[in-house]
Amino acid sequence: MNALVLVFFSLVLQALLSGLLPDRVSPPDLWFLLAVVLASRQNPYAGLATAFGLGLLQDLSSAGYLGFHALGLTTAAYAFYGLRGWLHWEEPAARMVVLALAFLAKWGGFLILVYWMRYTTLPTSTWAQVFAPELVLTLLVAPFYLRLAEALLGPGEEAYA
Amino acid sequence: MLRLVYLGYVLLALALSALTANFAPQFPGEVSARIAPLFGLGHRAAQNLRAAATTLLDRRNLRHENRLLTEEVAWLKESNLELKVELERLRRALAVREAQAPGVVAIAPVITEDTSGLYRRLILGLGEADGLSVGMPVTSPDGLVGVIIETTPHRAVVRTIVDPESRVGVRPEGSPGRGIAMGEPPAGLRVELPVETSIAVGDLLVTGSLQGLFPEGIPVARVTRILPRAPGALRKVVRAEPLVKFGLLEEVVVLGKL
Repeated sequence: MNALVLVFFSLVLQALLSGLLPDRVSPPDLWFLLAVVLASRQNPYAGLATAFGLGLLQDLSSAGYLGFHALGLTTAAYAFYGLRGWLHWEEPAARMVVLALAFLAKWGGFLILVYWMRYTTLPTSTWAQVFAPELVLTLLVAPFYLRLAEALLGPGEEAYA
Repeated sequence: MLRLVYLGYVLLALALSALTANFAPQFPGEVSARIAPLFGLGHRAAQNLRAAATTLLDRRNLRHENRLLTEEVAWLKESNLELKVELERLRRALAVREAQAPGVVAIAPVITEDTSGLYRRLILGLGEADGLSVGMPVTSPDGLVGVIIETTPHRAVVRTIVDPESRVGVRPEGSPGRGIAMGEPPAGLRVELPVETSIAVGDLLVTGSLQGLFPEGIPVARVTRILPRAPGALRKVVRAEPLVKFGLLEEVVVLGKL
């Protein structure tokens, strides 16, 4: 039940932040943080499925290519499970590194699908104007978001560490 | 084993994207229009907060609004609010009709925008039942907004001009040279013009494609930067900023298809 509350809250907050920030600034990606938080509390198979489902929902809400965000979030969750074996997710600094690398993996997923659909990569301006600000803002928001998720869901990641 | 499961999801995503793009391109847009109210709450709250902040921070706005409010109070004594809102809408429609018209179909409220960092799409609170259909240009008194790409009975999805898949035929106002403005997220345009085009920073770009989606002469964007031309380049490339502030849009004007 609390997980559903977190999903609903995240989606409303994402829309709120998208609207609040100036048009030139890409909002933090709460879909990504939500996928990582849910992955941290599930076994890897369920975590990948959840990330894929969340991504599909984001694709449908954006009226874009079906599978685009799904692949991005699934890749992020997959990277998260891989990185958690190397870095301690419980430590704040390591947590930021895991998030940053998983975020990079998400964009790796985007690249795969963009290349599949258009036989081209993302333009340089997208990396400078969307990727970089989105990464910075997502990492800035992450500590508060993770604290909120922990308050709602409880500390549960150790079960699958 | 987990690697295989992940690869399965990768293949599934690739298959889904290719299948929907080729066989059901309208499907994501239709669903997006139907689930728009889910995201509308946060969007509406943000719009109100931004509008409030803008008003508070801009003293000129406050003075202007104060004058308007004073006038409005006097006016309200003679009429009622419903008539006033209707009059404002008709005035705006008339302004757009005079400047951009082939015919205003509807004034539609913006109920939410997509939350992706890459796409830039808006959901309107009117749909097929109100006369909207795919391909209709969408404008505002400030300038061109985009084009309708999907409709349901009571919702419509607008691809704005800054969406990466948007292409708008443009020309500099008052001088020759037709080019294409491509959306460059998050809020810019990349415009390719013939090399002979005379253009400078600050110049206004208006719609200008022959037999295009949009009526001729609608203001689109202002040039912010002229990129250095590579040797042998066949096009002059400039960056431009749209005239419309998409985050503050509350209503848009939908024009008839050309």
